[in-house]
Amino acid sequence: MKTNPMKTTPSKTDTWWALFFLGPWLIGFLVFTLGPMAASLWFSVTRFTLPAAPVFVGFDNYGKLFTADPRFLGSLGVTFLYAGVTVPAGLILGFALAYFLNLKIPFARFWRTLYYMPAVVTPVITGTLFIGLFDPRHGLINYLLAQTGVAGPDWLLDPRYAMYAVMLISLWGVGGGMIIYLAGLQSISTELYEAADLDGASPTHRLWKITLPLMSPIIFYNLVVGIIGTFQLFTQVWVLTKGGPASSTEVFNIYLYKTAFEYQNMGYASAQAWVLFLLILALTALVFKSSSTWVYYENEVKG
Amino acid sequence: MKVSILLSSVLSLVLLASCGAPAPAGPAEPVKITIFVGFGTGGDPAQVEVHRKLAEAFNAAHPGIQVSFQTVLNADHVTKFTTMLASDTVPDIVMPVGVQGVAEFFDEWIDLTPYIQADKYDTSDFYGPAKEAHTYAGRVIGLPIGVYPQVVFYNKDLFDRSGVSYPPKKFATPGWTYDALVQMAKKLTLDKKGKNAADPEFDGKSIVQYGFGGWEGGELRGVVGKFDGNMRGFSDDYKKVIMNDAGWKAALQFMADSSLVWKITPKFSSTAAVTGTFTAGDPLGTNKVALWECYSWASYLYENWNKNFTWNVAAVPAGPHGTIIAQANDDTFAISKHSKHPKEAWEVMKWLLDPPQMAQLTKSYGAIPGRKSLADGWLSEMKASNPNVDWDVFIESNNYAEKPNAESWNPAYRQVWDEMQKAMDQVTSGGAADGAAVAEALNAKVQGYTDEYWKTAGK
Repeated sequence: MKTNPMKTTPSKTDTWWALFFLGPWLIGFLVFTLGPMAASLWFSVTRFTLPAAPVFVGFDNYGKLFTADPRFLGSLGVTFLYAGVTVPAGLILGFALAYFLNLKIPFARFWRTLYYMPAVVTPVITGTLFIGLFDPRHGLINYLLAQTGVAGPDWLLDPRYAMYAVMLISLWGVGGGMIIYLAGLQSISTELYEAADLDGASPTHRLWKITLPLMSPIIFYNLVVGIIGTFQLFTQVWVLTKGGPASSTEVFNIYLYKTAFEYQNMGYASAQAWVLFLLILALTALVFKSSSTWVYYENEVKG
Repeated sequence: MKVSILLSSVLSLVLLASCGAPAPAGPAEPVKITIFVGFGTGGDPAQVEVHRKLAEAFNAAHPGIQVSFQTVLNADHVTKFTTMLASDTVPDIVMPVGVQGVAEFFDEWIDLTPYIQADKYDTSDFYGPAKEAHTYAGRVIGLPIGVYPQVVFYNKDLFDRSGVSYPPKKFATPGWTYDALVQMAKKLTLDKKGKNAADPEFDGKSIVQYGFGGWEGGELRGVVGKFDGNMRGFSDDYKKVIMNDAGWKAALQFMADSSLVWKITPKFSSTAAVTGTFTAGDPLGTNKVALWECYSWASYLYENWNKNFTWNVAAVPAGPHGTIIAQANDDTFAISKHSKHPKEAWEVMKWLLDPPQMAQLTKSYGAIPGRKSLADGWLSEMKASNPNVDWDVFIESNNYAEKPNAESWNPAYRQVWDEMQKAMDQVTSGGAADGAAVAEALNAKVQGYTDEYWKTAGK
């Protein structure tokens, strides 16, 4: 009987070794991820205000979220506003930075390092730094504005401006996306550009016909990660404003955190968490679905 | 073989020991009492050391009870305490805790009335309003350890430079009203050309000094009381919300006008949005704010003030209808209803409330002792630290504390608290100019939380 030399069946010993090495991760996943997720799914259909025991209430929590909780809808609105501005702005800025830093400019490595540095700074440090920079009376930003004759607003203290300040701060970390774009740009074969040059293609043509299609998988990746990141925004806002003033920066996760750990309403907070999960899942699925029309893999040709 | 002999010898010895004569009965195990610290102050290293020394002294004098302090970060106290409740590992005593901390876990404390009555414990030495702050519908939750009454702090240097007379130090001085404070603050609010806010040529866009720091760090319900609003914010049965009466609207309007119309108050936010900024939490410390109405817990700022300017304190003004309310924060203790040894916990607390121990605790907390008999000692110490301040204003302020306390319990406590803070944010940050509209919106939101609370209460 002939056996396929490529197909090997692991021995029992191999299986046990595999399980042994996978064990710590599996235990961690079961205890710290899957278990809590299952528990929160159960809590989401209960009235569970600590320290009282959970009481099954069906889908009451979900119903209340969409029909009787303007604060929830308000926090969703704030989150969508934040995502609607920072995701596209982050993608465009990150790509533009990478594009220019990929050109033959003096001290290119220095500039790349400089622009990437904010991405490695933790949100707590960034937040604390910007509290100082945005200080209406002693901050550098209003000082610079004053030099140009513009009276700066109260930024983080004014409900009308606080969210814009948070958005600006988030764009400071755009170097994280830039470095991925840069890696992608450098992997594009120069032969393609040389061939385009011979054919008389303009720089705009080269950007639209070569660079962007070949970069589309990376743009797609950054888009998905960006959407997930913005909907999970918490630390920076918590450090900067704790959702204030007057709820102007109360993004979804801030409200969720307060519901769970300040109001002790674990059942309602679990329902919020599942809505967030489903929302991110739906948006990601939408982006994946749309990707077939604009993401090009290898030598794929569309249309 | 040798190993088996050795093993059997050891086993025989163990068996003999266990079958031996019963050990003589020793002294009973001391009862262990744990005090949870984290609801308020008490977590600084120096305070932890004071707690440790007091525990040592108590344990040495009381062989039957062993007390220990368990300290957590203030920011984590709700989560930690809730977890303890859920896992039935609640400490016996919580201390120091304010009216808000008691309200957050309103049903978790024992009533001290039977213990006070059984011991004929004399409570006449404690400040009356502070005692009332810890009494709810006949239930005594705690007795005051320390009090933090409200006064008007002012920067004397700024008054001197503008040639404005100081505010009065006597409470109920005729003419000392919030209207008078506004007029005074206008003269102390200066633009970059040195014009004050009472001058028609004053430029409100280039203010370099403010007259009044408002109630930064204060609580909305207390301010409402000054304007004769319903201080509880609720009907007697706590089912109907009353946060839109004339007093609520007037209080919110006063705050909005202070920054937007009179421009005497910098735009502040009462949420933690500003706790990190360089001016937040300490308007007076900027040396650019002349008056600030705040509690005596600002004592941790005195050292910095002393270095930079001369300051003093004045009486809290009367509201538009003559009502004088000097808000008060208090530190007390509460004994958990889950404690297995409430009697011993009460013994510990009685000892800590004794004058010598209370003096040590309040000195470390920066509080005024809750016993009237300790007032003279506190005054002497404070006068020695800064003879230019009229410290007796703080003592007199205790007589004007609000009833009920601005932090006292209401349904859906944390949500309602957040909504009140947000309403205050709107008017102190310049986000809303119409106090009445803010009050109406607040009333509607809080009524929603209240209805929801009563719908599920007790289920």
